[in-house]
Amino acid sequence: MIKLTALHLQQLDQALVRSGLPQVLHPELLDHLAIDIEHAMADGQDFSAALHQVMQQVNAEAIAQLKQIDQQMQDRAVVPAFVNRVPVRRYRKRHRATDQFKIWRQTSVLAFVTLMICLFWMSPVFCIPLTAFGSVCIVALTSLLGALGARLFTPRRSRGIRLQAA
Amino acid sequence: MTTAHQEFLWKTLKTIIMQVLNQHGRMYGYEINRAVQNRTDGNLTLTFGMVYPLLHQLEREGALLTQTEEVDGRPRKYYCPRPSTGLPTSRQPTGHERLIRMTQPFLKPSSTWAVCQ
Repeated sequence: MIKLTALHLQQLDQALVRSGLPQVLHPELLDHLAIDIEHAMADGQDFSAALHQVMQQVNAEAIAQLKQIDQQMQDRAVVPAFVNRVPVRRYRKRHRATDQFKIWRQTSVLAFVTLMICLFWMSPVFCIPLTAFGSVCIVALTSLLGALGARLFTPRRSRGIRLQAA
Repeated sequence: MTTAHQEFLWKTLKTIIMQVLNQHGRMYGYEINRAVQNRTDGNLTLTFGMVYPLLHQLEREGALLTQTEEVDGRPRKYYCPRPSTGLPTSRQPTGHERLIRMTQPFLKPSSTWAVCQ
């Protein structure tokens, strides 16, 4: 089997560059056409005639078709999955009250109320003046009313933070 | 050629190339073309204008692995099918392969065909 020399390959390479083939396919087409030339030379042709014969395949129509097919293949290339991901705008998120926290909150209020009732009932035994209970009850009631009022009259938007899709 | 026709042609040629590579393993473009010619007794010749864009498309899709080596002073790109993670014998036929197999009985000449008189 006749092998092409470096000079032959250089001439073939220059012929391919002049023909205007897509650069991405250049190395493989060089090898493909080199094998065709080697087969032609094994049949008795000289390099110039074999090169001329082979380059007839690489006519303008074939090049245009090859470019068109290659472009269509690239256009139908697989799109990476992350390109289709919908971007989400994230706001600063405040942790919402969990069920456990709500139970603990309600239990604390009930415990405070129960304790106050017990102390009021046991005040003669412990010699606690009734005016002290009055002050404590007033402070507790004021705090509770203030918290309820803040919750009822605060606008809905500033109360919670939500995630919104862009 | 319409787009649907092109699509059918490309899928058929892709199926043929993948079958050849699955049977022979590592091959380069000219070798794939020669194998297809031998299998079809010279009736089907894949031009370089069709083979190499298809091979590149299969490589982009991840179906093929490539390796470039220098042979006789020029670079040669070898293609081989990407090994699957499961058992090699359990490769399921694609929808296009099933379509080709379904049409084969209609393409074979049969002695029992009715003759219009």
